[in-house]
Amino acid sequence: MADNPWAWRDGHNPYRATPFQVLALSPEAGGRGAIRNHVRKRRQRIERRADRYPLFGRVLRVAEVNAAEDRIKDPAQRLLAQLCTHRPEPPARPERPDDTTGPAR
Amino acid sequence: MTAGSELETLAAELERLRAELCALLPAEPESAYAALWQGGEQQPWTRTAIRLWEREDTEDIEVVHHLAIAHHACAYDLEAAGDDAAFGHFERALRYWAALHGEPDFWRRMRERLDAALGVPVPDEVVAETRARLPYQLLEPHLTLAARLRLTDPGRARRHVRLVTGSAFPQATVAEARVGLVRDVLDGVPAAVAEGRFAETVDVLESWLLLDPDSHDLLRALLFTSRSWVERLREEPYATRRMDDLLRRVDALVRPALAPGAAPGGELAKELARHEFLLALRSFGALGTAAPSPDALGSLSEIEQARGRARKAVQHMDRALELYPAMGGDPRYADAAELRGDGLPGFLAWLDAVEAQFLLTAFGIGDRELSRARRLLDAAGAYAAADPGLEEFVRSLESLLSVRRA
Repeated sequence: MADNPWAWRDGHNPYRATPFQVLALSPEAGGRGAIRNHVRKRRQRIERRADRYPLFGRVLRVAEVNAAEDRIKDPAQRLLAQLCTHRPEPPARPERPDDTTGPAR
Repeated sequence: MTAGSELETLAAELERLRAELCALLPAEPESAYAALWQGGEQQPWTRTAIRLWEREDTEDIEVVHHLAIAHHACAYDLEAAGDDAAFGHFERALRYWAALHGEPDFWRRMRERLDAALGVPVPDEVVAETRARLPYQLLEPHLTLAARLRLTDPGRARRHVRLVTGSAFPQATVAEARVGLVRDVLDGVPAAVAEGRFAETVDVLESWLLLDPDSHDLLRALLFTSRSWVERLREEPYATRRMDDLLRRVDALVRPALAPGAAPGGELAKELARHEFLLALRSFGALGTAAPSPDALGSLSEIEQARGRARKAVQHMDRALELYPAMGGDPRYADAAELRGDGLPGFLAWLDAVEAQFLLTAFGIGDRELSRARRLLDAAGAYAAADPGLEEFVRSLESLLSVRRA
């Protein structure tokens, strides 16, 4: 059973630590190969210069990237992540330098 | 300069100022979604995004989802900062989430997105289970915070409980969440009572009732603890004052929590009935002591006071037997039926007779006093058949009445 993403944990906002945000991946991104490549690049960036890619001021760890990848592959956990993520509106999608597949972090 | 040209100059100046002002204001984002971008990151909420989404069609399920996320994210940030504005955003977020929870089309769309993203059809159970768990998961943080803040900030804790009890999720879900909040407390009550930890248990239950004042489970546990304590105290000497204070304290918690006209049922009704019985004994003056004797009354005003207390006791007993008609069959409360059927009516009849005696033995009585004595003796006489002592007393007073009339 998936953990409760909304459980109260001090300093934790469930909408500021979704797997899509950790991976800087759009929830609409498709294609297993493309996603795998994106996650690999993201992991490398965090390994090399995590301080350059903070998430809401927090420096990410590689373990978080790995956990986020597991979560988007698991249907139940991915569904919870979708629930916690704004669905992108294509016409209004701004560009992000770090984002190769979509606007979400 | 003519008045017309002066106006034109002023209008041109006004237009120039407006244009300058517009240039100073940040441009309105092209959409609510775009308004989430702030500080180089896509925020889960911004005030502008919320404002723009609230302007859109809030019947649109996608807009509802955006608003649920934005208000909820805002509420988490505010709650972490101890800001009371969190409650309004929590309330709105839970309302939007409840709408999403009940909307099959939302879950169909989520399922389609999931299938598309994973490239394989996702089993039905995955979506169904997530949907079923959603209300519990969304209510859980409020139960956690209520439990945590119960002693340090009861007002804030109570507001978290209200978010749960006032949420629009299915009633059974809300009830289950509410019980979950106090399950451990309730489970510990029988053992605590058996061990005689009455004061501590009443304190704990009272602190929880301040958070959820009309929880029937908490009320029942409080009434059970209180009457168990009183049952113990009734066997001790000099405990009348303590019982009196306890019953008053418990009554102040229980009475406002029960909606007028809505009769509780089941075990709560039985506990309430026992509480009413103890209140009857307290009113009657028979809690921890022998029942009062009419012989001890030395004036008409004392008789009137005793009558008022006995009538109040009758009201409590009527309520008790209405709530739990079979209470007389409960071995510990076997004297309840006797009190209502015999003890209180008998005492009131004796009071009538004693008052008649006061009137008939007083100096200088007139027709008014004699008429009242007649009515009192009739009232006492109606009960005299059940009490030979009273019957004899009434007979002697009848003789006295005849003498006084003569």
